[in-house]
Amino acid sequence: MKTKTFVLNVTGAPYASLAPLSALRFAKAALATGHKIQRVFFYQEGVTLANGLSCPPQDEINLTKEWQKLAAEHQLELAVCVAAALKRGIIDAKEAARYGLEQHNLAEGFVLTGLGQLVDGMANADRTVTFNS
Amino acid sequence: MASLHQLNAQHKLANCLKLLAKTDSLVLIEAAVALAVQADFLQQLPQGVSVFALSSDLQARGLLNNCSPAIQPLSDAEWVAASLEADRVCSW
Repeated sequence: MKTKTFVLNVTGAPYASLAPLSALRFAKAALATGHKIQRVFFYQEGVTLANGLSCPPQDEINLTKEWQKLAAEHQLELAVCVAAALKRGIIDAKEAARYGLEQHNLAEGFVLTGLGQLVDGMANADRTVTFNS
Repeated sequence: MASLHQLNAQHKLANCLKLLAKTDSLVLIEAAVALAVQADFLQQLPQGVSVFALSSDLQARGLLNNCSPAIQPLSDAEWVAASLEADRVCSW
């Protein structure tokens, strides 16, 4: 079987939709069957997965941690749309400094980036799969 | 150029049907797997469309044993394979 590359575009929020969980299952199955995930792009409400301050109950799945774990194991790029993130209060240290804010909350392993990274991924990967709310 | 239409909610079906060609495939995921047990669902589709539903989503809702025999349950690995067999994935 030939190895194929995927870009996953997650636009639904964790807990309010199943998008990040379905995308996680798809990513795990793709990796387990020998394919590559070139990039995971979090867009629209999907950016709230990158909130490092979310604390779901301990007996529920922690989707942010599950994605961090998978990304660490497989060196996945977790790209977060910067414009969608900033307007929802998801911010890294660099943007916090730019906006004069004292706090930042972007979860480890996620990177704020531009929409161009989604387009670049779509142009280069074999398949783009979107997970909506 | 066949598409795999990925449907995650029942209310999106009407829009999906407008673009669903007879050479396309349809995969029901998340809450849309409830369509797999509805009697009139398959009659709305163009003839020739292959219909799948994610096994784990059917199982999570207690529908795995009630799924129409015309709808093929897919493991997550088969879901990935189906996305590669089509020329593109259209997510609703």
